[in-house]
Amino acid sequence: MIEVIGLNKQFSDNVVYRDYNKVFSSQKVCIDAPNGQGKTTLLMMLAGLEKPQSGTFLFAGKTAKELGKEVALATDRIALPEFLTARQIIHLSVSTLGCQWPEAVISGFNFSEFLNTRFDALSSGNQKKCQLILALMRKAPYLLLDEPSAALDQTSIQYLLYLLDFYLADKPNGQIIITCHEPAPFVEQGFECISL
Amino acid sequence: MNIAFSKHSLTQYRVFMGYRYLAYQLELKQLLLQLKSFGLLFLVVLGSSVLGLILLLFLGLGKIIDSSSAPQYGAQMALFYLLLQSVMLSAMKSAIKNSHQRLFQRTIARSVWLYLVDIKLLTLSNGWLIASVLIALDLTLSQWVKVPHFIVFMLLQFSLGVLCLYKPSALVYGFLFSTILVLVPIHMQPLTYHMSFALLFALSLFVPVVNVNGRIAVSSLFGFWFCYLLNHRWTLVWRVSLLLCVFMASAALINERADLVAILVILAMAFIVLFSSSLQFDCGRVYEQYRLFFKTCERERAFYISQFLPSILLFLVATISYSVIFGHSHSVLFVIGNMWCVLQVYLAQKKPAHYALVWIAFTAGLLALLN
Repeated sequence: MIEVIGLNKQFSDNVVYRDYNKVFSSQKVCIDAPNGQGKTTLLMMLAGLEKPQSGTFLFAGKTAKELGKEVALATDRIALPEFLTARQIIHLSVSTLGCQWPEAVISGFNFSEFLNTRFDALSSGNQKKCQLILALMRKAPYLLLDEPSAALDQTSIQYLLYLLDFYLADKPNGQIIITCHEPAPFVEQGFECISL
Repeated sequence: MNIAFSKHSLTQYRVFMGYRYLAYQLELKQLLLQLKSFGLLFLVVLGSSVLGLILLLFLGLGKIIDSSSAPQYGAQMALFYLLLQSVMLSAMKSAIKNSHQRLFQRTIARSVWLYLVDIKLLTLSNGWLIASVLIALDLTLSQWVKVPHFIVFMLLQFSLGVLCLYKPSALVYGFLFSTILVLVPIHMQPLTYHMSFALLFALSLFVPVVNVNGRIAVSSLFGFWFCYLLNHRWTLVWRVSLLLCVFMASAALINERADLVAILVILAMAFIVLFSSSLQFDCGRVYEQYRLFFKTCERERAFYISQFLPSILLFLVATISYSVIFGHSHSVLFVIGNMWCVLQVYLAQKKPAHYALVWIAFTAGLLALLN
């Protein structure tokens, strides 16, 4: 369970969150809100990649000590090295994080044939797959996915839903939070759709 | 009917040419804006010495023309000129070709027009070739007969410009092979040297491109920076070319004025510091761009520190090469140079507005200390 307490966040004059409090109690949450409401910003702050002006995040009632190990995030806002191939990016992450090469996820997404393509030459759908692979391979208890179905083909969406179905099987205190403008397939898989 | 059609085509071509010229101007302005990180420096140091640089350009051309007494030196100078020209044109390539809107161009103009305008703008941009043509126009027929290699040199200038636009890999191979040729101690006539260059560059067209990028296993920050520099080699190429300029100028000046060696070494050190520490402007941008990615990999701190290494390594390689080539190794100067480079790298990262000012002050201070 993730709890947001007294969150304040603004970009220059643009106030995104003012004394915002929220409890994400379901194990699978789908945040649906209009553009510009701060969905991605919230995920970035939960992952510790962006700092709020003030506020606290509690993960299972505690502040996370090692966010990097507990939270995995896939979003377009994390720029991946566009001059590297997908294989090099995944290899770099695998080496630095000490994970296993995510062979099953790569072939599940039919991504093997694109591994030797430079990231900037990948289609937007394949770039999204690369982001998802990087997040999923970490096996972190808290998985945050920003618009995970955007640009994905139907087969890949189905495979993603299949993966998410089992993701929390070995993570009793884990949670999946996604942002999505077309939540129907996720709601069918047991995601609770909430607004910000 | 035919005349009307031709007139219509000509009008279309002119409109297209107008568009390309506008795009060329706009992109060049952007390119000049990028030099703002050097802003003050260019205004104060290079700005005031533009006339001197132009004179040096013509002086060098004179050496290339009159190289019958020292053909190897002349050939080295010619190759060096071609290298500098290629570096300059590589920087302007995107503006010349209007690369970002290349597909758009194909939708509005015939292919042949694209290439025609490319060549027009290339010729307009090639100040090195224009300088050669100016000298060539000043030569009499009797002088022409004595320096036939200069015609080949001008043809090379033009052809390498075209290679720069359409086949840069041939340029890389050509320079590699030609450098080996000019370093081999054999006696050849200037014309033979230039013809050999032409042959080597022509052969380079058929050498296949080796893409090592995808074959490198990137498992560390070292691999990351290596791949970055491999893919953005322009950031290194122009610096290394300018460092070569410094080395060649040092060699010539030390040879002419051995009594000024102390001043020359300090000036060389100043330029080595400048060209290597300015690499931090590029590395700093890379750090900002991929900081979050490395934070997710739990390597943010290491990534932060690693951004300074390319500049420092370039400085060390350049300084050690200079010391080995010219035999002027001075431990105090080496230590000062290191500290100075670290300071400039810090300024490039934290206070870019002060970067040029500190470099000038430091250079002036060191020169003043000599007196």
